Formats: sequence, C-alpha cells, structure tokens
Amino acid sequence: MNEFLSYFENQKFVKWVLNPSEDLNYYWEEFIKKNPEEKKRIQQARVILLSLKSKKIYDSGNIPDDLSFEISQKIHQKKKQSAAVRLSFTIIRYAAVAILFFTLGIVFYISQKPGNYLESYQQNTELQSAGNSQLILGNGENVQIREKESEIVYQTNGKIVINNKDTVQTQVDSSKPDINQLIVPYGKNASVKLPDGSIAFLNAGSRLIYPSVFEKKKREVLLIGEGFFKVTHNKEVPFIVKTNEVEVEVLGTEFNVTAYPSDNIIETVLVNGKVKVRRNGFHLLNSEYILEPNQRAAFNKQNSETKITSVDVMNYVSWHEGYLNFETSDLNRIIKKLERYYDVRIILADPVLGIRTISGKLKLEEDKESVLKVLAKTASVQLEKINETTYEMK
Amino acid sequence: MKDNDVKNIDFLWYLFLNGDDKVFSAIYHHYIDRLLSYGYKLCPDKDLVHDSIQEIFLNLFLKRKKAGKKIENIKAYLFVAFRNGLVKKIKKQRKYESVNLSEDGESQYFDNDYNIQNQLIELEISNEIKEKLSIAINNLPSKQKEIIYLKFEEELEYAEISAIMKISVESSRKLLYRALLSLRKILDPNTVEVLFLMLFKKS
Repeated sequence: MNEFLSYFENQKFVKWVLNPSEDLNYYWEEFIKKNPEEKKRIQQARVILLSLKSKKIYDSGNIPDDLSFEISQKIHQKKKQSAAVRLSFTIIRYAAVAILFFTLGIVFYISQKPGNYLESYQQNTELQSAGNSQLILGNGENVQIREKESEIVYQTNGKIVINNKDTVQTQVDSSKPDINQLIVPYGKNASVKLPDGSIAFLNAGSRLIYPSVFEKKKREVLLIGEGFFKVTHNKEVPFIVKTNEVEVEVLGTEFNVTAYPSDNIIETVLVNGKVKVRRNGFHLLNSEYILEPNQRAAFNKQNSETKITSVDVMNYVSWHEGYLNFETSDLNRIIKKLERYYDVRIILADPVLGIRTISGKLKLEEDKESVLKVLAKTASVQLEKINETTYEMK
Repeated sequence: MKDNDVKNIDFLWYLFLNGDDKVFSAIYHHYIDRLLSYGYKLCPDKDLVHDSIQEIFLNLFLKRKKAGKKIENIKAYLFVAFRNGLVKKIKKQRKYESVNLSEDGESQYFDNDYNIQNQLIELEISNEIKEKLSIAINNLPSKQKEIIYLKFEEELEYAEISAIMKISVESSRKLLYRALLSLRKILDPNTVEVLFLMLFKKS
C-alpha cells in the first residue's frame, strides 16, 4: 500500500487529525521530527481528511418519534392479526360440534375489537424506554415528571396536583371525561389519587389509563404493568381494573395486580375486601373467580388457566411501601423486580444461580448499589458492576 | 467512546434476542438519526426513506428469532438491510416515473454536503485551493462519496462496507483509494509549503 494512503488506515493518525489531544500532538510532532520526508504526505492526508468530514450534527426533529410510533402501531397490528389467526383455528375445531358453537365463535371474534373508549386510547406498550414519568391529559397535554417517586392527586374540582407543587386542570363533566394516561418508566414509581378517592400505586414500567371523572355505572381503569390499588367503597359503582387479558372487579378493597406485557402470568393478590377476577370479553367457558383476602389468582397467558393459592400478601404488595418481602422466592424473580424498579440489567454468570431461593426483606433504597449488595450477600453471590446500568452476579 | 458504544449495543441486542422487548426502543433510538442521515443522502425522497426505516425495524422486531441467529453485528445488519430496502424502493419508483437515463441509470445516487470552507477554516489555506478541493469532492462519483461517508463518518470496516454496498472488499479498498488519490492531486506541491507553517498552530 502506498505510504500516503496508509495514513488513512492508521487509527492514531485519524484520531489526531479529527480529535487532537496533547498526547497525540506530541506523538506526531516527534514523528515528523524523526521522519521529515513524511511531512508533506502527512499534511496532504490531514487536509483531505479534514475536508471529508461533512456536517456531522444531524437534527431529525420529531421524525424519529413519529416513525417509532408508526412502527409500534404496525407491530401491534401484526400481533393482533396473528392472535386472530390463532383464535380462528380454535373456532373451527368447535364448529364441528354444533352450529351453536359456530355462532358463539363469531361473537367471540367481534368482542375482541376494542369498543371500549378506554382501550382505544391504549397506545402500544412494547416500546417503553427510560425517562421521566409522564401524565398525558385528554387534550394531549403531556406533563413530564422528573422525580423518581411521584404523587398525583385528582381533586373534585378537576384540578390535578402533582407532587404537592404543580397543578394542571382537567375536565369534570362525566358525560365526556378526559382520558388521562400516567406512564411510569423503568426506574420510577408513582401514585395517583383518582377522582373517586381511590389510590393507585404504579410500579416501575407501568401505565394507567383512566378518565378524569368516573362514569355513573362503573369506575374503570386500564392497567399495564403493576399496580397496587386502595379502592374507596361504593356498592353501587364497582371499580374495575382491566388488563390486556384479565379484569378485576372490586367493590371497595385493597389488592395488587401484576400484568406486565412481557410476563407470562397475570396475577392478582387480595389484601382485604373482595374481588372478582375474570377474563376480558366474552369467552367460551369463561369463569369468574372470587378471591378472599390473602389469596392469589394467577392467570397463565400460555394455557389460559387460572390458579388460586393462599399467600402471604406481604410478599406481593410491600413494594408500594418501599420494600420487598420474600419467602423462598427464587433469585430470578427478585432480580426481575429490581431490574424494573431501578431500570438496570442484572446478568447471572451462571443461569443456575437464578433458581436459588431466598427469604428476607429488602428495603428499596435510593442507592441501588447498596440494595444489590445486600441481595448478593443474602444469595451468596458476588456482585460485579459492569457499568452504570449493568451488573453481574456470579 | 466507540468501543463502549459497541459493547452496550451488542448487549442490548443480546437482551432483545432473549425476549426483552423494551430494549428494542433503545436500539432504535441509538441508530435512527444516523440511518436517516444516510438515507437522505441516498435518496432525496424522504417518504421513501421513512418507509424503508419502518420496514427494517418492523422486520427486525417480528423476525427476531429467525434473524437473531444470523445477526452478529447489529449495526452492519441495519445498514445493509436499510440500503437494500431503500435501493429496491428507488428502483421500483424509477420504473413508474418517466425514466431519465441521462444520469448513469445503474449507479446509485449519493449526495453529501461538504462544507470545505468551514472544515479547513483554521488551516489558512488559500481560498483557491479550498475552492478546488470543494469542487473536486462534490464531483466525486456517487460510489466514492458513499464509501467516504461510510468509512469516515460511520467508521465502518471494509468488510462491513463491502456487505452494505455489495462490492468485494478489494473493490471497496480500491474505490476509497481512488478517491483519496484524486483529491491529493488538487493539493499542489507548492501550496503545501504554506500548510506546513500552519500545521502546529492548530491544537
């Protein structure tokens, strides 16, 4: 290769030309002193290299966000399409039995379409990245909330108070309520006191979609992720928490719902009161499960089965009070919760470590490292920090 | 900075392959500006560029299981897939428009905006030379401009460039060298003496 050209292949040279530093300057000054015959080539190469760097800063404006929204819409559509295909295979099997089943099949398919105004506001949940918590109001206004833990209160006059300082105004006419969406990214937490006085605590990586004022017949909210609810008692107006597959109806009570899109299980845990858990929409053989306090209903998305067990509720709900309680829980599960809560990645050097069981209480401190160290010690593993957001356990 | 970048993205890619959907957004945001920048240089029709972007990310997301086993280098994959998709769309569109073959019908257009005046401002080179250089660079054949962009702006390896531009590694080397040597000709030996004095003033 030609000596002139070789400079362009020389990382040290390219770096010096484009990002000079004291060390690099020194190096090349010395080099030229020792090799004066190279001077000319170096100058020429330098001029050309500098000319070939065009304007680097590219401002795409809103385009990346617009495009990403369209992409997520299409992904959502495709997923619905393939779900519909799976659905129709099931229907065909039943059609062989009786015309009755075939008719039900049609009703089945139709009911999958979102007729509910709440669902039509549900944006695709797949693309969720770190950032601020956001409260999106019906008029499109987007309130960014920077704090790691935030508290939102809806007053009866339609005023929304955020973290005891900021205020936003919303609609209170129940015939045409504002649809609000609270988005809590990984690494953050929020609580919202809803218009009826009920409180919803949202864990990291969750969203709650709800109206600014509830309708007269029912109080319905849409949850993606994990929420702990303290519902004000109202016999006439049931409170319903809807998730993508399962809905939970309550009259007045405290319970926890976990429905992360990437999880296989949707779980509902009842602390006190009474709740009814059932699948969304109309389903052949749809069952309603009534939970008693200290019971957990786990709906398996894969086989559509629901299992009910008695549990120690503290193992499931304590997160909303700032700590995690475990009783022979496997490390994998704990890691997943911490990853969401702190928005970090924890890699296990050996996957076998993940099935180690641990019992104990973990306070969710501000400082994630101290929390992870405690966990590591309890699990008898070593914690290694790879970078600000990645840790390894071995 | 580049090394860290690569490690992080490769890791995100690994997480994505293992079912972590939320990481997809991070991958998207990491590359989108550069892909758009590259795309707009390949094609002045922004809608076509945007369609291509949507296509590749959609495919990436939906086919991760199939694609995953083959994709080791996510950056190269994105550039290859993007250029392929975009060029296909461009060719398709050309078929429907009244074809103007005055421009070499086969070669792909590539337009980069070089502001030579700015880049060389501290070097106190004569304006005449800057002009000549500017004209020469802007008149380089599209393929040469493209490879200069991929090599110096995107810092891609020859192997990656050859996959993206669909030429052999040898050809890509030759292409780049041809461009560099033709530019060198502009730099007259006489003017270079003046450059020497200025060389170490800039730090």
